[in-house]
Amino acid sequence: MATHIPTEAAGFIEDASGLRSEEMILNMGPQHPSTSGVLRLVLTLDGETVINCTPVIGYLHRGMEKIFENRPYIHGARYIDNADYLNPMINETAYVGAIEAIMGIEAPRRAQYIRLLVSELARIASHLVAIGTYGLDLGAFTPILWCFRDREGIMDMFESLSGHRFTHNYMRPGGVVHDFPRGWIQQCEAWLNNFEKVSIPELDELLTGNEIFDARTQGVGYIDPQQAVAYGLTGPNLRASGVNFDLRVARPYGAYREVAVRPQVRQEGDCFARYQVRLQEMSESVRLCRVALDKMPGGSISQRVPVALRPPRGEAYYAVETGRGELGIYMISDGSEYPWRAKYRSASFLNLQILPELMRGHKIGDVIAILGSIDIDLGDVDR
Amino acid sequence: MDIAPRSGGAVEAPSLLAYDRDHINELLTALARLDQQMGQPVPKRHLNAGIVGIEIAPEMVVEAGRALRDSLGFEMLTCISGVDMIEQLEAVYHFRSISHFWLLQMRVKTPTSDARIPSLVGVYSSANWLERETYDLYGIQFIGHPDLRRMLLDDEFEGHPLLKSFRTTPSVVHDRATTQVDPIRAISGEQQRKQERTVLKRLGQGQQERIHPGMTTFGSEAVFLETGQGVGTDANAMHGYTIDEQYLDPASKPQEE
Amino acid sequence: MNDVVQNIIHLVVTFLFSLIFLMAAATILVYWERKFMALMQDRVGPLHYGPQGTLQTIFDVGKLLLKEDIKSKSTDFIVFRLAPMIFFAPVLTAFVVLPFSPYLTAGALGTGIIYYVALSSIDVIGVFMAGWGSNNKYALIGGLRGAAQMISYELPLVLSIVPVIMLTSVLTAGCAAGANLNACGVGSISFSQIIAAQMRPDTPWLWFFLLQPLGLMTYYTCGLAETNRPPFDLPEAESELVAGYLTEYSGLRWAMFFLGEYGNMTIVSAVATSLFLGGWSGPGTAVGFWTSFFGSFWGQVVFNIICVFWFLFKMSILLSAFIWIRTTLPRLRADQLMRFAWLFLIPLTLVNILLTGALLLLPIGDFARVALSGVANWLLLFVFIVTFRRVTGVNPLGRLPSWLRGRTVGTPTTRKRPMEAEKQGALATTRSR
Repeated sequence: MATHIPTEAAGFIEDASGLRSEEMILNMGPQHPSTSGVLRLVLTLDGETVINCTPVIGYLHRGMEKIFENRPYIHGARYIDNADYLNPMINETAYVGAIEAIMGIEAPRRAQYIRLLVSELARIASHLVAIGTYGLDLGAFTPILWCFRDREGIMDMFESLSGHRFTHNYMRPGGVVHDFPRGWIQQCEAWLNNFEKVSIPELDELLTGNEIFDARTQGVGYIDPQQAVAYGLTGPNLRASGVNFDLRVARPYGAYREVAVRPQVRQEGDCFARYQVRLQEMSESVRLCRVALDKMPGGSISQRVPVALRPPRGEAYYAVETGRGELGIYMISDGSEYPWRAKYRSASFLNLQILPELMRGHKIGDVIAILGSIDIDLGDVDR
Repeated sequence: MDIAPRSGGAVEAPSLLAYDRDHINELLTALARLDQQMGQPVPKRHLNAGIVGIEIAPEMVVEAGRALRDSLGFEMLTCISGVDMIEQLEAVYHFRSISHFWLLQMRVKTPTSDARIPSLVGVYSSANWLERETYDLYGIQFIGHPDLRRMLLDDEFEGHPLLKSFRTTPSVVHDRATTQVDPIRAISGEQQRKQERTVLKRLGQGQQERIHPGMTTFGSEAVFLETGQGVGTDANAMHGYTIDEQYLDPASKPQEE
Repeated sequence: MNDVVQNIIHLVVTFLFSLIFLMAAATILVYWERKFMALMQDRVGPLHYGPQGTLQTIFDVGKLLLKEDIKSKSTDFIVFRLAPMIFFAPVLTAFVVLPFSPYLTAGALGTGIIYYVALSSIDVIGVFMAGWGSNNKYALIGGLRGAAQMISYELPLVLSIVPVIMLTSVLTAGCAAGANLNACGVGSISFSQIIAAQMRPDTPWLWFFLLQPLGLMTYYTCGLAETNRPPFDLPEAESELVAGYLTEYSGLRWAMFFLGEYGNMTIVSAVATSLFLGGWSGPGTAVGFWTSFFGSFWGQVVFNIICVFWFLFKMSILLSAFIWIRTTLPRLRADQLMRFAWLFLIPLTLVNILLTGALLLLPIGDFARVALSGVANWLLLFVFIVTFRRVTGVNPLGRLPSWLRGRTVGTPTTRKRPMEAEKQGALATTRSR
C-alpha cells in the first residue's frame, strides 16, 4: 500500500480554445459502496472523464503467507479459505494439491471426483456473486438478490457436507474429510435442475437482452488478447479476450484428467464478453457437476496420511482454475511440520494490475463497470 | 540450504498429465534453444508435478526472459515468489506458455546482504506488481523497475516481513495511547487507585472530564483526592466509593513512578 | 354568505387533504416500494413492525426525525441549509393543483399545467445547491449531473404535454353539453378541464393515452429523469458517487430530500393520470346516479369518494411502474443520458407535435381527425420502441447515422476493433506475437 500519493497536485488542462480547467483528483475508496471491499482508486478526472487511475491495495493484507509458514500444514488448509473468500473450496484444493505433489501421493479416485464436484459448485457460487454484484454496480438492483438466493442453495449443500457454511475446511492432504451425508446427492441434483431450468434463463433474460445493460457494457473496457497475456490475466477475463486458456484443459489436475471441460471463449474482449463468459461457465459447470455425479466412483474418500504431516524435502507449484483465474500454490518443504514457504499466487492481484490501462478515457460510470467486470476479490488481492 | 531430496536419488514425480512424459520431453528439447541463446548450458531439473526448473544467474535474467518470450513461446509471466533460504534470497519465476501449455520455473539466487535482480518489467508487463510485491515482502531490489514502492504494506512499515529474520512480535513496545487502567492491576482496588492518582497527576487539574467519560468515579473522585475536599459527599455515596484516609494525608502519598 | 362559508370549507378541506395526502403518500409509498420490490426479488421485505411490517416506515421516519444532524465544518453553510428547503417547497406547493376529484380541486388554477411545470423546474436549484454547498467531490459531481439532467429533460417533458392541449382544442370545438368548457375552439391548460375533455358525455372513455400513447411514454420517461429515479438516478448513483448530492446530508435534511423525491414521484404520476389516463373517470363516476340514490349531499360525497378512488388507483399503477422499472433496469451513463434527451426525445416530441398539429388541421370531420392523429401516434410509438435500441446504441456513440455522428459533442471513448481471431482460432493469434 503506497500511502504517499500526491492527492492535491492537480494539473491543468487546456483545450484548443485556450480554456483552462483544473483536473480533479477523486479518492474512490477504500470506503466506497462498489469497490468490492477495501480497494482505493485514485482517479484523476477531467470533468467526468478519467485521465489516470492508480489502484492502491493492501488494506486487507493479513500476512497470509507468513501465517502459513508458522502453522502446521493442516492448519493452512483451513486458513486459506479466508484468502479468496468467494470460492474457498477451490482454494483448499490448491493447497492440499501442493502438499500432495510434494509428498508424491494422490487422493483416491472418489475423493478426486468429490473435489471436482465441489469445485464446480464453488465456481458457480463465485460467478453468481460476480454477476449479481456486477448488476448492482451498473444500477440493476434485482440480479444480486436472485443470485444470492441461488447461492444460498450451494451454501446449504456445503454446510451439510463439511459442517461449515463459508469456511469449509473440507479438504485434507490425501482426500477429503467427510463423505456425502444421506440425501445429499438428491439435494444436489434437485438444485442443479432448478438452477439450469429456472435461474440461468431468468438471469439471462433480465440482463443479457437489456438495452441499457448492452449500452453500458459493450465496447467498454476492451482488453487486447496480447495485452491480456502480457499482463498475466487468467480465468474468464483472459477467455473473454479470445484466448483459449483454461487450466482445467491446459494442465488438467485431479479428476479433470477424466472429465473433459469445454472452455468458454469469447472474442469481444469487453465487459459484456466477460459477463457472458461467466454466464456460460455456469452452464458448463452444471454439466460438469452432472458428469461428476454420474461417474462418481465408490471406494474410500481418503488415503491414510499421518496427522503430524512431514512432507519430504521438495518443492511444488500446483495451480488450479478458480472462478477468477489461476490460483497457484508454490510450496517448499524443508521436511519439518511447517511449510518453509507457501506462496499464494492470486488471480485477482494480477487481474487488477491491468486496471489503469483500461480506465483511461472512460467516464466515471465506466470505472465501476470495468472494475466490476474484472471481478476482483480483495481478500484474494491483499491476502 | 538446498531443497533437493536428501537421499534416494531422484524421486519419480507423480504424473499430472496423461501425456506427461512426451510433454516434458518436448519442453526440454525446446529449452535446448535457450542454451544456444544464452551461450552456456542452463541447469535444468525435472521437478514435481510435471514442471521443469532452470536456474539463471541474476545478471542473465532479462536476457533469459526475452529469450523465453520471443523464441520459446512463454508468453506469460504468471508468478514471482521470493524465497528466503537463509544463505541466499531467491526469486522463483513461473512462466506459462499459452500455446504449448508448458510451465517453466526459473530460479534466481542472490545474496541476502545485497539482494539485487534486474527487473523484467520491460519484457513482461505483469512483472510490475509482482516485483513490487516481492520487494515489499523480501526486500529484493529489482534494478530498473519504474516504480519500486511498497505494494501491500504501509509505507512506514519497517522491515520485510517474509524474511526468516523478521520478528513477528514487535521488539519495541510503545506506550498505549490510553489512560485505561491495566486490567491486571485493576483487580486490587488499592492498586487501581494508585494508578488513577498517578495518571491524574500527569494530566493535571481540570482535565478530569476528558479522561474517562464512562467512569464517573474516576474523575470526580480524583478531584477530591487532590484538593482534599468533598469526601463523603453525595457524589461519593452515590457511586458507592470510599477513600482510604491515607491518601488524604499529604505525608502518606504514594511515591510517583 | 352561504357561498362564502362553503368556499372556505371547500378550501380548508382541499388543502388539508393535499397536505395529509403528501405526508401519508410518501410513507405509504416507501412501504409499498419495499414490499413490491421484495415481491419481485423473491424476498419478504419489512416484516417485524406491525402486521407485515406496515409500521416500518413510521419507525423510519421517527428515526430520521430524532437523528443527529451531522454537518461538516467546511460546508458552505447557508447554501447547505437552504438546499433541502428549496428542493422540498416546490413539491409541497405543486400538490395544490392536483385534481383528485371534482370537489377536491380548490387550487384548480386556470393555468394548472404551466404552474406545475414552473414549480417542477425549481427542484434543480435545490439539487445544485446541495451539490455545491456540501464541499464534497462526490456531491459536486452529483449536483452537476443533476443540473444537467433535470434541465435537459425539462424540455421534452413540456413538449410531450403540448399535443394533449392541442387535442383538447379539437374536442371542445363542438362545446359538448355539460362539460363546463367556456372557451370553445381553444385548448385548455387547466387540469380539471383536460379531465373533463376526456369524459365528455358523448365519448366518456376517450382517455388521451388512447390518442397519445407516445405522449404518455415520453412524459413518463422524462418524469423518471426529473425525479432522479432509476434508470436515470445518476445524480445520486449509489455505486458510483456514494450518494451523489446527498452524501453529506443526514437526519431531517436528508429526510426532506427523500420526502421530496417521493413527493415528486407522486406528482408526476398524478399529472400523468389527469393528462393521459382520464383523471377520476371510471366506472361509477356518474354523479346523477348517486344523487338520485342518496340525495343531494350524500350523493356528492359518495361520488367524490369514488372519484378519488379511481384517481388514486390509476396513480398507484403508475407509481408501481416506477418501482417496477427500478427493479428491472440498470443505470445509464452520463453521456448516454444526455444523448438520449437531446438527440432522441426532443426531436421525437417535436415531430409528435408537428404531426398531431398537421393532422388536426386536416379539413375532415372531427372524429376522423382525432382518429387519424391517434393512429399516427400509435405508429410513432412503435417507431420509438424499435429505434430506441439503435439510438442508445452499443458503442459510445450509438448506432447513429454518420451525418449525425459527426456533430455530436465529445470524443468517443477508445474502442479498438475486436480482433478478427474468430476465423483464425484463438490460439493462432497468441502464438504469432
